[in-house]
Amino acid sequence: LTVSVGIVLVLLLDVVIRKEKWIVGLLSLFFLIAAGVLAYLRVNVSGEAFGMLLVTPLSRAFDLIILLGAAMTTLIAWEKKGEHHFLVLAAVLGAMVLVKSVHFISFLLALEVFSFAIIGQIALTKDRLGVEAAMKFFVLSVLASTFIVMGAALLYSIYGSFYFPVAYLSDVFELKSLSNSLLFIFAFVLILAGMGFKLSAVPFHFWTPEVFRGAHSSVAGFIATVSKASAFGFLVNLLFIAFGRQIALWGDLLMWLGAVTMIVGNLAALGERDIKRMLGYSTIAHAGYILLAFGVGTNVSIGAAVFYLAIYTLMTLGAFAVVHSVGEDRSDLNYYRGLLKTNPFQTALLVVFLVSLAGIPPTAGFAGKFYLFSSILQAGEVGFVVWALINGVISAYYYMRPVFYALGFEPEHVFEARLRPALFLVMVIGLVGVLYFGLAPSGLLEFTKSVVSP
Amino acid sequence: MTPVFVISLALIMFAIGLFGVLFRKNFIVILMSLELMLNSSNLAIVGASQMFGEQGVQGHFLVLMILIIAAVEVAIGLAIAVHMARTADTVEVDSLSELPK
Amino acid sequence: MTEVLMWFFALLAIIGAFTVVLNPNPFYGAMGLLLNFLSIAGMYMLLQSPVLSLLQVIVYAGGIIVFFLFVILLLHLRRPLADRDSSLKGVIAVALAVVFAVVGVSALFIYPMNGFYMAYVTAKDIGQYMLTDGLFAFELSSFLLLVGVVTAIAIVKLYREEEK
Repeated sequence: LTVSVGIVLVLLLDVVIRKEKWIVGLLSLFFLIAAGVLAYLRVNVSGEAFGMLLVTPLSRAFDLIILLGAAMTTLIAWEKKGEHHFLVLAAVLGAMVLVKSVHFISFLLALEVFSFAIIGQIALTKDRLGVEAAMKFFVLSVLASTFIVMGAALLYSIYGSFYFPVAYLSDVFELKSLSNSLLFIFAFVLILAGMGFKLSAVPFHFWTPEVFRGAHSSVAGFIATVSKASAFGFLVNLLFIAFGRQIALWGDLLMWLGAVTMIVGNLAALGERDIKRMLGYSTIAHAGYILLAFGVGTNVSIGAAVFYLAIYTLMTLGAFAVVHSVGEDRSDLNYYRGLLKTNPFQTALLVVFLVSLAGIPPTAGFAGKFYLFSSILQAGEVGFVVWALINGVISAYYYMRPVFYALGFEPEHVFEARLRPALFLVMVIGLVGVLYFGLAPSGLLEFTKSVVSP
Repeated sequence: MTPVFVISLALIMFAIGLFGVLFRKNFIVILMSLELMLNSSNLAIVGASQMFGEQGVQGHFLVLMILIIAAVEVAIGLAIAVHMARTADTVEVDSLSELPK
Repeated sequence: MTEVLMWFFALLAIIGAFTVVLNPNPFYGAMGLLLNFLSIAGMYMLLQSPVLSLLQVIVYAGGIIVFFLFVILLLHLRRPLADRDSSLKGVIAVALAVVFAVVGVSALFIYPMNGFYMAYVTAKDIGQYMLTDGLFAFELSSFLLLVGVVTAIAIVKLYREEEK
C-alpha cells in the first residue's frame, strides 16, 4: 500500500513542478511525512502484493528509514528547483519498491528508477565538478546494473524463473559437485558485484569521494543514506529468500568484504583535506560495519543493522546539513578553521554529529555500534569485532580533525553561514535524534527487534 | 543450437562490452559498449528462456523491460554527454578529472 | 540450415562488437553497434521469438542508433581522438574481460543444461503474461520512462535561461 501512496505522491508533485520553489519543497515534505505515517501505522501487516513484492515488517522499517532520509534531504535542498524534488520523490518510490521486491523484474526496474533519479539530481548543476560527478556516477551505476542483469540471466538459466522463493525451494540445486555450482557462484558473484557498487564496498568504492565532492551536499547526503539503506534492504530479501540455504557460502564472504571495506574507508579518510570527501570515505567505512552484521546473518544482527542504519541516517544527514550551511563550495578543511568564532551554532552541531559518527559514548553512534558489535559477538565472530573496534579508533581520529580545526585555530575566512528555517529544522532533527537515541536507545531497539521477528 | 552456445556468445559479447567501458576514454563509446552489454544480457535471457518452454514467457517479458531500461539509459546518457560537452566542451572521460584524486 | 545461419549471425555480432570497442572513430563504432543489433535480431528470430526480433530492430537499431549518430554528429566527434591509452589501465581492462569470458563460458559448458525445448513465443503470450502477473512491472516501467523524460528535459532546461 505504501508503494501506491508513493506513486500517487510523486505524480501529484510532478504536476506542481512549475510552481515557485518553496511551495514544491513544502508539498514534497508533506507527501513524505504522509507516506511515513502510513508506513508506520501499517508496520505489522505483512503479505503478498502485486505478485512481485513481499511486504514484511522488516521492509516497513527500511521504508521508514528511506522516508526519514528523504525528508531530511528535501529540507536541506530547499531552494532547489521543482524537478529536484520530483527526482527525490521518484527515488523514494524506487527505493520503496526495491526494498520489498522479491522478483528480479520488479527489482531491476526499481533499481533503475532509483539510480536514474539520483543521476538526475547530480546532473542538475552547471558547475564542472557536478557534471563530472554525474558522468562518473552514471557510467558506474549503469555498469553495476548490467552486471546484475547478467547475473539474473544466468540464474534464470539454472532455475527457469525470476521468482526468488522458487530459486530457494528448488532442490535441484545442491552445492555438491563443482559442475553445477560454478555457474551459480559465477552468477552470484555478478549480482554481488552490482550490489557492491551500490554499497560502495571495497572493490567498487572508487566513485564515492569524487561524487560526494561534486554533488550538492543534499544529494550526497541522499546517496550516503537512502541508497545504502535500500541496497541493504534488498540484500536482506535476496540473501535470505533467494539464497537462504547457502549461508555458509555468502556468510563469511560478506564478513571479509565488510572487514576490508572498513579499513580502506578509514585509512583513505585519514589523509583527506576536503570535508565532503571525508564524509564520502566515512560512508564506505560505515557500510563495512553493516556488512559485518549481514555476514553474521542472525536475526539479532539484522535488527542491530537496521538500528544502526537508522542512526547512521540521522548522523550523516545532520553532518551534511552543517556542511551545506557552511557553504557548498567551501568544503575544504581550512574553511572550517576557527569556525567557532564566526558562527558558533554550526560548530556546536558539527561537533555533535562528528562525535556521534565516531561512536563516542553519549551519542547514538555509540549505541548503534554497541548493539551492532554485541550482536556479532553473540555469533562468536570475535576476530571481526576486534578488527571493527580498531577501525572505530582510526575513524575517531579523522572525525575529530575538523573539530580541532573549528575549535582551535584562528578563522581565516570570516563568513556568515547561511541559516534558513528549513536548514535549521534539519539540524534540530538530527541533533534530537542523535542525542535521544544516544541516551535512550531502548525505544528504537525494541522496534527493530520486533520488526525482525520473522 | 543449444542454449549453451547462445549464452556463451552472450557472455563473450558482455566481455567485449566490459572491455570497451574500461578501455575507451570517449564517453559516447563507453555508452555504446554499455548498450552492448545490456543487449548481450538480453540475448542470454532469450537463450535461457528457450529451455523452459511455456515458462519462458517470463524471460521475454524481462527482455522487453530491459529494452525500456536501455532506451531510458541512452536518453539520460546522451543528455549528460551534451551537458558535459557544453559545460566542459570535451567528451573525454579522463580529461574531466578536476576532482582531486 | 539453421545451424549455419546461427553461426553466421554469431560471427556478425562478434565483429560488430569489436568494431564498437576498437574503432577510434565513434562514427564507425556506431555502425558496428548497428551490425551487432541486427545480427542479434536475426538470432532472436532463430530462437523462435519473432516478437522480440522485430522489437529489437525497431527499438534498438531504429531508435537508439539514431540517437547515437545524432549526438556524434552534433558534437562533431568525427575526428578520431587520441583515444586509446595502452597504459596499465588498458592491460587490466583486457585481462579482466578475458578472465570474465573464460570463467563464464567454462561455467556454462560444465553445467548440465537440460534439453532444448523450443516454444514458439508469440506476441499474444508476452502480452498475456504482461497484463496478468507482470502488471506491476509494466506500470513501474512507465514510471521509469517518466523519470527519464524529466531528467533529460531538466538538464537541457539549464541552458534555456542563457538564451533568454
